[in-house]
Amino acid sequence: MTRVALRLLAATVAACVALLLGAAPAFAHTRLESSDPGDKSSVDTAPASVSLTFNEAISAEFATLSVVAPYCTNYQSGPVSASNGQVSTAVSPLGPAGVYEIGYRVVSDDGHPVSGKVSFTLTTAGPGAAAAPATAAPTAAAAPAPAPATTAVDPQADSRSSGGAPIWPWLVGAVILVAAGAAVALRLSRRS
Amino acid sequence: MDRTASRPAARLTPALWVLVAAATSVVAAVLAGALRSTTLPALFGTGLTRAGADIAGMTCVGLALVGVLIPVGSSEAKRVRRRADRAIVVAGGVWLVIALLGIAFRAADGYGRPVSSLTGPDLLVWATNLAAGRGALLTVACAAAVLGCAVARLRDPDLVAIRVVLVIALLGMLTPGVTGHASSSASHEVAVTTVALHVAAASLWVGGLGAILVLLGRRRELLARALPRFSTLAGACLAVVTISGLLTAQVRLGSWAALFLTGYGALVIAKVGALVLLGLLGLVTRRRMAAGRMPVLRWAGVEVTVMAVTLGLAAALSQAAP
Repeated sequence: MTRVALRLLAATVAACVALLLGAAPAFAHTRLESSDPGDKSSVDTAPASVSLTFNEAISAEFATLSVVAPYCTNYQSGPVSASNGQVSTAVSPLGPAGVYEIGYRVVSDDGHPVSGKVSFTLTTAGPGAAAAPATAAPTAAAAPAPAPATTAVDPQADSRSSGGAPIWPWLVGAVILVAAGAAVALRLSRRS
Repeated sequence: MDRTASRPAARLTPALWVLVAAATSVVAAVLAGALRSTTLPALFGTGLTRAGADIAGMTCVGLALVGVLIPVGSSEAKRVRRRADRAIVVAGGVWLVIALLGIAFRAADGYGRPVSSLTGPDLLVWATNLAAGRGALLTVACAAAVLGCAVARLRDPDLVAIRVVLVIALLGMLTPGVTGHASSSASHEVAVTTVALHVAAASLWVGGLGAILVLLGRRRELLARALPRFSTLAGACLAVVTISGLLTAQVRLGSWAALFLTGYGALVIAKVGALVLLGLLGLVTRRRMAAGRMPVLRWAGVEVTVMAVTLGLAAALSQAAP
């Protein structure tokens, strides 16, 4: 009976995996398709929000955006929202005229982070020359390395991270458990 | 009785292969420009766990394949099967652990935070929202199933057929590939199928050769029965790997320029070179076998080392974008 049950189990597992494999959308690294304001464009009035459109659906949990200005002030405010391939966030009233950089870091469906930046020029000074300064943006704009980009939006990231106990002790425990279990199984099967 | 070598040198060789594959994967990933979107510690974590999971999974596939290839009945075959089962318990356990750690490191990379700051809900969100996360969960499930089956087989080999272990191990090897870069939008189903075939054939070939060397290296009669069957299988695997690899590369690169100008293209070229080398080695091995000279194992040892390098390249390729 056990053999039949195990065979059935194996067949079920195989069928489930086959279904999942067939259904899983396995796309390449995601790519930025367009942005609003457009890359290298000039705008007269400060936009209230910026959005970026990617070629695949992005999860808001893993998307960080920053809008950094001539004097390294980060104007991005509020949460990042994502719907399908479009990621957007509100922007507090922009300050002086100049080149603004929208830094982004998103995670593709295949798990790999993709980061970059889009720039636009504000031709006339915006309403908020005294916008809330970023808590940490010592280097200008979102350099490709994610570290500056994530420090620029750190408050948001922290408020998004679910308050809870870190999981790494559980992982260490699981590792020890598996190792111990395997060792026991091997020792018990040893015949003298 | 003729026991498989327990000399320290023979024990070291599989460790050497693992080291070669892991080191190659990290070096190749760095060289191919994977640092553009991630930090070096994160790259170490994700790269080593990806290579490690591939190695452990291939080991399980290879050990199970040996169990399938050797004839039933002789007491020596029983001993070898038992050794294989015990080795699968170890390899399956390692695979499970690395797959779990892989989820943690990849989630940390996705969030852009260190692993120590991740919480349970973080991991759950990552694992359920992204296709890669769901694939990683499947890998964990398959590794756990392989481990469970191997433990069951240690109690009573008739409980689970070794074929079943082979199939589950192959499934676990497929999941990272088909939830990774497997496609561009247009030819999605074709791309996923070709990657699945590529990974399955490569696992059987590389895992099988390594396991034959380690388990049957000193056992002349079993080797004489298993090696010709494996050689035929290896020939088919080489053909499948080549064709599927070329198809996938062509879909992802899209142009000859990308092949020569990008880091991804460089990795593809390196893999093709390794494949040609492996094909030549395989040809030499078959000729020697046909001429009746059984000691082909030194060539096979070189072959597996080249395969280890290729495995490292493949792991790096999985992280690079063209």
